[in-house]
Formats: sequence, C-alpha cells, structure tokens
Amino acid sequence: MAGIPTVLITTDKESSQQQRPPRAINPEGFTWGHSLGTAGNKDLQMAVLRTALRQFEELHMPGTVRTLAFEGYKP
Amino acid sequence: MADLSRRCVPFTPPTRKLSEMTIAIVSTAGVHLKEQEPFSKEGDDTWRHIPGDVNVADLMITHGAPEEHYDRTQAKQDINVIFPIERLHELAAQGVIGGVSERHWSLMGYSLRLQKYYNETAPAVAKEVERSSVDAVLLTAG
Repeated sequence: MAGIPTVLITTDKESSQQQRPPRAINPEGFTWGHSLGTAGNKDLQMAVLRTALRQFEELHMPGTVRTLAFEGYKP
Repeated sequence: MADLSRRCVPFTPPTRKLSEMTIAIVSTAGVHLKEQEPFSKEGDDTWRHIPGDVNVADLMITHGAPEEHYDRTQAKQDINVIFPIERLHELAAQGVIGGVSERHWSLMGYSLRLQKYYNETAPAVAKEVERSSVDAVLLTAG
C-alpha cells in the first residue's frame, strides 16, 4: 500500500500527539469545534488552512504536532 | 492504533507539488448532507460521502459529543471552521492547490467500538481514498 500524504489540524494536541501523526498543526489556543477559527472569519480560516497544507512542502518532523500562533482568534 | 504508532510513524511523502495536488477532506467532525442519514449519537462507525461541489447550506452536523466539549455554534453558522470546503475551492481558484476532490469523507468521531473503528472503518475509508484521484488529505476532527 503506497499510502496517501495527510496533514491534521487538531485542537487537542495531547490526544493527537499520542497517535504520532505524520504531519499535524495545533492552532494555539483554539478550542474543540473551532479547528480553523470562528464563523465568518475567512482570513483566519484561510491562514490556518494554508499553513496546514504548507506542511506537505516543509520539513516536518513526522510524529510531532506543531503548535502555531494565529492572530484574530476570538472564541 | 497504539501498536502501529509504537512501531513507526506512517509517513507518506507527496509525489507532486502542492500547486498540482488534488486535496480531499477526511473529517470526524460529524458533518453530513441534510438528506443523508444522520450519525447515531449513541456511537457510529459509518461514514458519509460529501460531494466536492456541495452547497454548504445543504450540510449539517450530528455528533455524540456533549456541546460543552465540542462547540458546534460556530460550525452551524459557517461549516468551514471544521470542514473548510469553500476555502479549499478558493485556494484551487488561486492556484495554491491543484484541485478539490470530487468526493470527501465524513465520519463522526464518537464510537463505543474503537476496535472496529480502527480495524474496519479507518482502513475501509483509507482504501476508498487511495482508489480515488486524491493526492493528499486534510484531516479535521472538529
């Protein structure tokens, strides 16, 4: 099986880290149900999505979850 | 799942540039079409196919997790906060990604039969994804 490249956006770093995903980002401070931010905040959603997809082209230590800060999140 | 993780990280490198990749969403956030059978809040290990050209107004969420743990208020107003299908189409239009998959996969991440989820559900979904024309997958959990 060749496999498919994946990237995870997680709001639960601890649980996700235990599974050692190949690529994962954890938007800092985001809570469950807000993976890409909040309703109507397209800029924030796009920033999170672009960052997640960039992991396919960046060096990412497999099995780790990267916590990254994004501006404009107001839960 | 723990067995696999102890042995190795299942890392698959991409075979093409991001700007050439067709991306699919595989989500356990409980998203489904309003016309599809809702997930069982008692625990569910089935999945739904979401068409790539879906109108987001036709989507809804059914999930077994309590609202105080999994806040659905934002996603009910804007599904993109957990299932960013419109944002993916925008990235495709901008040429950042190659395209958006014609099919996406949705599960509900609350199951009392985790062994079945691990041994049957996840491999079956992975097989479907592999047989599609998808180059890479975005995973969201809510």
